[in-house]
Amino acid sequence: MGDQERGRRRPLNDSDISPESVQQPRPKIFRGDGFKSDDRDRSEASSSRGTSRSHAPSTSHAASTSYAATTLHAASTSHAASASRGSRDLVGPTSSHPSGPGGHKSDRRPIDRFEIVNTRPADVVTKQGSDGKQIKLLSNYFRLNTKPQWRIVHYHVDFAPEIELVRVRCGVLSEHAKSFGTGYLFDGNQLFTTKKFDKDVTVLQATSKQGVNYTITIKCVGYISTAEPRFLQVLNLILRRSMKGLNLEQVGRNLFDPHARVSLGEFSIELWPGYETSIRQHEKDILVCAEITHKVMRRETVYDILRRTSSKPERHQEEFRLNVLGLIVLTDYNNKTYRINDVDFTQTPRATFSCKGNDVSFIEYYLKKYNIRIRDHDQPLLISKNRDKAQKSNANEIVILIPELCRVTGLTDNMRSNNNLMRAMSNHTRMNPERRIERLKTFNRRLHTTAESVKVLTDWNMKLDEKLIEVQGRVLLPQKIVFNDNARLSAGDSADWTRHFRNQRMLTTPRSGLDRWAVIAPKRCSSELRTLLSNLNRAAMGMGFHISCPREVMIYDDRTSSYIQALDDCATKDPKLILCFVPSDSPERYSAIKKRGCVDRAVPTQVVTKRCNKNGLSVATKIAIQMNCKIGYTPWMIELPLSGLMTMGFDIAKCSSNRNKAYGALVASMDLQRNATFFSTVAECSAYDVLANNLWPMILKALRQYQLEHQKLPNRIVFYRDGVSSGSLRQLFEYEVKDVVEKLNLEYKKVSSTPPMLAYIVVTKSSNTRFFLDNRSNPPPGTVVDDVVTLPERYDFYLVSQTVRQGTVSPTNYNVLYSNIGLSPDKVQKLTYKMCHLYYNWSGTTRVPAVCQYAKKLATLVGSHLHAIPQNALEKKFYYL
Amino acid sequence: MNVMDANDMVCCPYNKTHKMLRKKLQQHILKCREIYKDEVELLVCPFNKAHLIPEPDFLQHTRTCIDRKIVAHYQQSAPAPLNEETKHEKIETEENWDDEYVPDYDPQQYVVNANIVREPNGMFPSQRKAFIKQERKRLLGEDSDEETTGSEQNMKLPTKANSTGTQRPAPYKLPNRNR
Repeated sequence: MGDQERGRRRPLNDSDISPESVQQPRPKIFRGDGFKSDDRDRSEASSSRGTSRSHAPSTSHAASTSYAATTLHAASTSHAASASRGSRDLVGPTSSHPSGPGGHKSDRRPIDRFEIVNTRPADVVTKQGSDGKQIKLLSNYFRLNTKPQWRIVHYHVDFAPEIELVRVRCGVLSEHAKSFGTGYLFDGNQLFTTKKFDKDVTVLQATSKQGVNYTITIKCVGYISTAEPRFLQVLNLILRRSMKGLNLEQVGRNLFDPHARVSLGEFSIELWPGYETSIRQHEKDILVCAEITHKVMRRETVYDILRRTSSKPERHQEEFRLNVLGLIVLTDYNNKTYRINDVDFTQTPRATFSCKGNDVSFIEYYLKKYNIRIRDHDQPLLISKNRDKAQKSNANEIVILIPELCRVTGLTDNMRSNNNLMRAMSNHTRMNPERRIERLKTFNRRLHTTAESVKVLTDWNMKLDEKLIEVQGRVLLPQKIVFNDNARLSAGDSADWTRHFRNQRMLTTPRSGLDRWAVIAPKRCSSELRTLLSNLNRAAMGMGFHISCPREVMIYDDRTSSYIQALDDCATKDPKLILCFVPSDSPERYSAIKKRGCVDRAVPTQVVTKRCNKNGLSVATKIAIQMNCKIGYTPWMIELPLSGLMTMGFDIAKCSSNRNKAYGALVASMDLQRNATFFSTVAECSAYDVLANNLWPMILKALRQYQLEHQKLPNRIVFYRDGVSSGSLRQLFEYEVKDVVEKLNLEYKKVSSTPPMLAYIVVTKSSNTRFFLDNRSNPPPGTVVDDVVTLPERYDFYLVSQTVRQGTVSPTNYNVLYSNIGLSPDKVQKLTYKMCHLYYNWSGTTRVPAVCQYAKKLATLVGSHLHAIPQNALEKKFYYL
Repeated sequence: MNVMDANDMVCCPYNKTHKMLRKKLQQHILKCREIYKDEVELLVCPFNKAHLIPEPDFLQHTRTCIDRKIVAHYQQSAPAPLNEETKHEKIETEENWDDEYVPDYDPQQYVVNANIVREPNGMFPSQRKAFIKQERKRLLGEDSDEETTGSEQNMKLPTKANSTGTQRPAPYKLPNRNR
């Protein structure tokens, strides 16, 4: 039933393909390969970069330089200083005065209804920081040296009789190409030219190759000037058109190169390399972002699946349905994708339907319309409810598809778990920076040398820079990790402090050690258990964590039920932790153990596989750290120069058993200066809602806990929001941020204190932006970029916090959606980087702030294993690690 | 078809004739909340923001809301006991940011004057039109070259019925849309 699982449709990114990443929903059980585990957001540390730099402590000197930068920037925004943000509407048209390089007039009405009322006079600041070592980076952007300077005329084109195929429409219109002047763009509906027709409505006649006469009505819609966003859309169209000159084929949204395809014959898949481009306004200029992607194309059609399943006639229909329902298919003739919702076995392609008043069979239809001959006239038909269309017109609109013509897309779970396949694929898709730069340059060169592409670009007076854009980045100093006895050690240039655990003790451990705990193991594994326990003891002792002898429960087989029974037995003795020693990975067993421990019993559980023993002490060290976390103590901390700070992270994971459900998890830190612990809570939410509906009750719970522990509410709150796409930022602001701000103010008023200083930061892991150092390597951890490639309408920055060993690092984008935290951009960046050091499953930096990583981990655990809300008593423990 | 598909289309709580896909509801409500703020009064459930309840049913709802358990959970199972042992000596740092107060960066102020193309996101169509018009003035204004000034003048003729920036008709035809 492998085909039943749907793969994702996004083209695969190189760094996403590691075999570990594909096992994301699997239980995390220690595997033999040392510190490798399936949290892919942490990346492997490179040991090659061992050079130690002197870690000058980041002193207050650095802070003062940021002020200098602030004033420098002030000139361009001086006008804004006069008007407070909320009362901008008072700035009348009379107050216009020249300012900055581009600002001419400032007669703006209050049109932005998403504005939040902020009464504090906003001073002029910049979003660029200054701290850290300056480095020169390259990024995968090209500058636009020239762009069309004249106005572009926009027309709407109608054909009578109607033409379905865009290709034919273009062909018919091209008869009049001469009258459109040099360079015209036509996407099937819209026509862009540089020349204006005399009349607003122009009617033309044309004849297609088939000899059909068409009437073309061209209506003028308006002009597009260089000042409006639709100008960018046209630029994108021009670039796309020019890329078509490279003989690229469009699949879905992006263009791919079928000539350069890589065939992985033994797996019957193909990889099509392609380019993802987008032109948009960046910090100062309009830039072209170009990214190399790959599309996995399966050679299989739904018909192949049908053939495969038909061997067993009695269960044939049922099995086919099981395999096919929910699949996303691609139809080559119109390049569209559909989700299969049903199979109609009673019909065949011979069935007729009404098409423009005539009854035609599917066979005739496809022959006439697409010139496709359907080979098997007896295959069943597939039914797809076209969802997006359904919204606009009729809710019951369905699309009927022919199995033979439907190509299956995506990877099945079977394929994903096939390590050979994934490795073969990642060889092609995972590119190191050097190769990626080379590919980007090749792309650019091809655009500049292919006659057809050059023509399009010159017609529109568009010129792409030949070099990748240079960006000034900064590398933040390595952070200091705080261990017990106030020992502070630098995380080093590669941000990895694994080796420090050889001679450092953990920050906090229970005074009486782990004194009451149990181990469950099958009898035949008892010798391995011995090894594990002695390793654990040795490793933990070295880290100042005393582990007493556990209560050992030996079971006679390794069935799930035996484990559960033993777990119930142990739980009556109120242990602090239960360790389950299992002979092999088994998702069901893992789920059952976790469920019993977290949902029914409120006991943290630790599952360890037999294979862990292979790596002896290093794995044992890691398990010991984890066990310490699971009972609520802290292995290490960083230096945090803010008191009364609470950081929160929120993420959502879909439920694996019920497609309507998802789980949102919130993890919040206490005051990390004095009580380095974290609070977590999970709530069920709807899988259809991007924005969190029940965020506030969760935040409130975290605040109460903070109040309980510190007898006051936090002064500053930094909220890291993950799991939301950049497309819904506006809604996020309206729906979540405003609400949280409002309710926080109310809550603080209740205890009559001033409202907290809050920063609401959206974390995005999947951006197309890449940075390269020295033309050949990845930027080191701690690299911050906050200019050139950032977006002007955001307070955002890119941070590379993780170290990667293979492929190109993908920087994380942080977007400060709302802030009254009163910290300079420098500090916000540094604070974020510091927060990436606190994921206790990994003695290195993570890709996102630890609270987000925890939230994601917790949400995934609940979504794919527990399917229920864990017990409250565990809220302060890292039971989900 | 399976059960989920039936739920796929939902009604807007403000206006039952508004039907949409389930996943579009949140986005839609944001708009309707604004449009109907004077006409329809719905109370927001304290446990789940998506629950918009007319006042008469509100009390009943808060008692039976399925998301009540997020908070009511504490009544059924004990909360985490306080563990004083996890507290440690204050980790002193060389830096101290506590007293720092730097005004926060507001990108809106930058973009108002910068020489950049702005997107009219999240606006009603009429606002979008006005916005684009102003942006043209702002960026191309007096200093723009002849060609663009030419377009400025020509502009006024054809952009009446189907102005640039609005490809689709106004989503909600309502009397009180005067923002």
